[in-house]
Amino acid sequence: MLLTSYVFLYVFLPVFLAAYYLVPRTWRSWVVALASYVFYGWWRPDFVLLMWVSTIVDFSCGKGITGDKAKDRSGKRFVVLSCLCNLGLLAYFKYANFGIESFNAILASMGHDQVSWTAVVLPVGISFYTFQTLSYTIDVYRGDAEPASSFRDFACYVSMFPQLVAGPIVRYSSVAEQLRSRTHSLQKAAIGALIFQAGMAKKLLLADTFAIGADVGFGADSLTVLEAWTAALCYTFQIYFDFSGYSDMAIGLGLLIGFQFPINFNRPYISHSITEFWRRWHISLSSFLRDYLYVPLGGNRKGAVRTYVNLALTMLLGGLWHGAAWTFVAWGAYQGFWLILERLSGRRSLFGGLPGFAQNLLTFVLVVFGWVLFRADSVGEAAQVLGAMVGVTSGASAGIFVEWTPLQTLAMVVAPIIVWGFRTTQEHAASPRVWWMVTMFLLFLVSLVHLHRAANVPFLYFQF
Amino acid sequence: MDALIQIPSEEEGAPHPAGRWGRGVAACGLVLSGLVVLGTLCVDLAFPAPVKHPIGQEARDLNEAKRNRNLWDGSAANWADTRLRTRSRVRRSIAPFWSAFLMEVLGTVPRDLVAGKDGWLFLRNRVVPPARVRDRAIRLTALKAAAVERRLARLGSQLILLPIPRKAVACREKLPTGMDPDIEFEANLSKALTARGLEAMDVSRALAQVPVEGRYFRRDSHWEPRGAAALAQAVAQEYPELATGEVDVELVEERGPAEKALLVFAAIGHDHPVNDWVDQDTVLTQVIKSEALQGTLDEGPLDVDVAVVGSSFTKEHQFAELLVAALGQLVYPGGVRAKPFGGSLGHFAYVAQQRKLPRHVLFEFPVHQCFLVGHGGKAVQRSLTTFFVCTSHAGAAPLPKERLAPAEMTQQGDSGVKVFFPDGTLLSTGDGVLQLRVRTQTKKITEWQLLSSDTGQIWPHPPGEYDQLIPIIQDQPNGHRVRLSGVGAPGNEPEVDVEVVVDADLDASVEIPLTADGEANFRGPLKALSVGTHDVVTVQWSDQPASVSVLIRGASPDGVERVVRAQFKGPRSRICALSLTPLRGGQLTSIEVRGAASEVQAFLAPQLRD
Repeated sequence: MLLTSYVFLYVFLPVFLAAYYLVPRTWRSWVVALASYVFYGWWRPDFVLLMWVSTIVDFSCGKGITGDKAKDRSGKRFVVLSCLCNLGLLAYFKYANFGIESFNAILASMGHDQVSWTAVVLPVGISFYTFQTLSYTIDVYRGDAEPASSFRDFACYVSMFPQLVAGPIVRYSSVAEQLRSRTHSLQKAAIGALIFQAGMAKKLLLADTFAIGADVGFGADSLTVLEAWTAALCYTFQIYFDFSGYSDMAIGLGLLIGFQFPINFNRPYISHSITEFWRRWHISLSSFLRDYLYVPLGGNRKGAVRTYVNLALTMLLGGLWHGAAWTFVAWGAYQGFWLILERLSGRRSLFGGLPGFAQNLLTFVLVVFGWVLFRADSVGEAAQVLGAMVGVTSGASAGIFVEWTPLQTLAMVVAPIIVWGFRTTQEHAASPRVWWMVTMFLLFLVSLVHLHRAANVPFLYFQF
Repeated sequence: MDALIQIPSEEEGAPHPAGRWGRGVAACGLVLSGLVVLGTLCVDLAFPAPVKHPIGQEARDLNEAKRNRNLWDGSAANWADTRLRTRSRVRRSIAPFWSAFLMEVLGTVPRDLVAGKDGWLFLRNRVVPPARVRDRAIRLTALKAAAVERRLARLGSQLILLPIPRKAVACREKLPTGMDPDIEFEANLSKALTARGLEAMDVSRALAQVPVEGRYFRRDSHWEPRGAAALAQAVAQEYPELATGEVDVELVEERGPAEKALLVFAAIGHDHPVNDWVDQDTVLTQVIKSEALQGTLDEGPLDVDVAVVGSSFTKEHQFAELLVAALGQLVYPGGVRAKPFGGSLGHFAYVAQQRKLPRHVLFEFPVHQCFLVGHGGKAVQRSLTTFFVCTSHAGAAPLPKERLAPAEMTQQGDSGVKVFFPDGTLLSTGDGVLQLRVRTQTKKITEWQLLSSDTGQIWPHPPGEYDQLIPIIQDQPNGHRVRLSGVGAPGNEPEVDVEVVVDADLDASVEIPLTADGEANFRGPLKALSVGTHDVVTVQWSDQPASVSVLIRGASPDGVERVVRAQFKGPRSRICALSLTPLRGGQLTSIEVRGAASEVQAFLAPQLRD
């Protein structure tokens, strides 16, 4: 179910909130879990089974680890079982198609017959909830989290619909206490509603407007230099407002039912270095990669070379996590390259000697180049757009500006103001001013009307 | 990496608005938001809005949602969401205001539309021909029109084509700067029709007589009355023989609101008040003053000399009335709205069944209909076939069976039957010169389909016996396989007898003397031959060549050089039929047959006469 669909906004959400607040407190986590299964199964009921498998396996593994530890055993076997199960699911549903296609391409290049294969449908959000359940088992194994005391709480944690399909990736340890007992208040819910409204406006009014220019540019056979930059900038803003908009909606929905989820975006485009960018962009993923991949690989504790290798590997896998395609691998490699280079330079930023605004601008340009890799349908297309941006492969006009509307111009003006001039939604919401609350409410009304007019455009991160 | 990535510290406790004011505003916001959502739900459930004639995105969404309501693939969920959304009373009442604001102030329209200059709107799918089917659309339209012309000629009627250029071409100065509507499409279609020997008017030239605002409505996909009137006048000038002046018609002008159906695509419904606010264009419409004459016209007189059949351009925009005024004679008004290419011809043939047809049939069709011809969907396959089914009494002569390779017939249980003519069996120019006489007998409703080179013709039949004459219309390559199939419910027990016929009097044919010019190459005749408009050349041989190609050169009466060519790879039959319609009754100057080596003969046969 899309958070911006009619069914969700006008049917599911009111019914869910009514049920949630009408039942006794002890039943509320069950209500969340059951509603989440309906939410998730709305698209494909059979995929709820996958979530149940993941839930049961990891809950059992958590119990198993506790049991082992009580008998002075490490409980490692349960961590291995959890990894095999979660990563196995992820590998099959997310990467099997990619693997077979790549293998077939190799076979074809060698003149051999290709392997026949029925494409696997990717269950929405599998990348997010498998990471969550995996983090639970590992945290319990490491002693960073207490095992879930009740299956109800754990089922609620795994399935929690606000952030189920596109994050933020919530670690068990950060919500364990809230699962057991959380406070509800009118003020908390009111702030939640405002954050939700802010996210909805970001998605519907900004991200979807930028999508028009990005789609035309990235679907074109050739682009002029100006068009290539425009398309890349459109996508840069689209992905930010789309993804941070979803995160805001998820955080807001969480607050409506008493949960406080961690912040996921902290004004990433104001960064002065790629390192800083990764501290601000999709924070729940980058911290996950840090704690469950980079650190176990040795982090920066095993010498300089190993640190760089670990960084490169982490970013490559991080890229691949976003999607099973070479473009995502290339994007991960690109990010890893700049992180390593910054570390090699020994300074906070590669552009350290320059004024702050120049550092920010140059970092932003690097990020924009990266998004071209991320958005393109193939490495070839990415190369073509990147080439056009630097004037190497620029050619005939794609006609981006033929149908360029004042709305797009307005979005192009407003977006930088929001990105560079305003604090994050969460910062505003931490102690909201009256003008901000009134603005969010008005934007919510406009978003609803806009939603009524337009067809639903899925969130970008649904595909990951 | 631990140094690289840090989570900003989270504040203890929940966020909260500062001060009483802030808390009050936050609480009010929450309550109001809840009221908005619940109010919308209550109104929508209590007073759902009926969905009348959905078009554009809404129609696509509904069709998509209806197609498959499967719980396991998300389609049932999609259906529920679409149904709720489209029937939302609140949405239908409020969204048009926002749509109007977006369109008028921010120049933004839904993806189905292109917002042009000065508030002009264009349907996106008509602005540029789809690249995948562009050339095929032109070829197939010409072939189908040629088949219609041949059938009408057989019944004593002349076909005059009126291809109405797309709005994006006729009013291209109103498109956004830099948008290319591919004006070559219209030009190439015109060339293709002329090359087939068809009579097609240059409608663009007629429309150019009026200012751009008079060609099409600003916010509708139909022509403006001034454009229709200009074309009616042009028809009278181009075909003076039609302008008899027998009926004295006086037209009076009436001013009314302009058509603006495209606003519905912009999510501004017909019946919404904002519809009138955003568009106050008016238009002068010419109507016939005499009520008696208008009444006669409304009845659709068939005993007339001229019929105009066409789309909603004719049906809803007084084109027939304007023609009556321009020609000074009664005209059969055969406009049918919302039908694909040829639908109006099918309706006309159905109405006029077994009657003498008007001597002149003006066939108006908007050029964008050719796109669907190129795609070849089922609606297109049905629309024109109705015309051929309803004019099957035209008759045709059998082609010598001994020269034809046999067809393969397969019975599909007791419900269906299939007749298959492999590649190289039915050899013709693919423009309906060769036809199939299909005699059928079934016990259940049966859907028949004639399919060749992805070009289909479909005609459904109630139980009973039928005798139909279906032209073979083939896109490239020549001589492609042909499959006839009939499918009904179990117990259908279909019986079918198929005969290959040609629209030519083979008994009256004369041999065109050919001389050998090297091995497997024959040429003739020594002097030019005068030919009739719908004469047919048959070429026959007795060996089994790998391929046969026939090239006929000639000239139309006005001296323009014309060619008819066909190439058949691996011919199984030993006879082919080629239409000489492209020569338009001029002269045949040469015929060249390559590939066949033994007993090669060519015959010139006139079209059948009753």
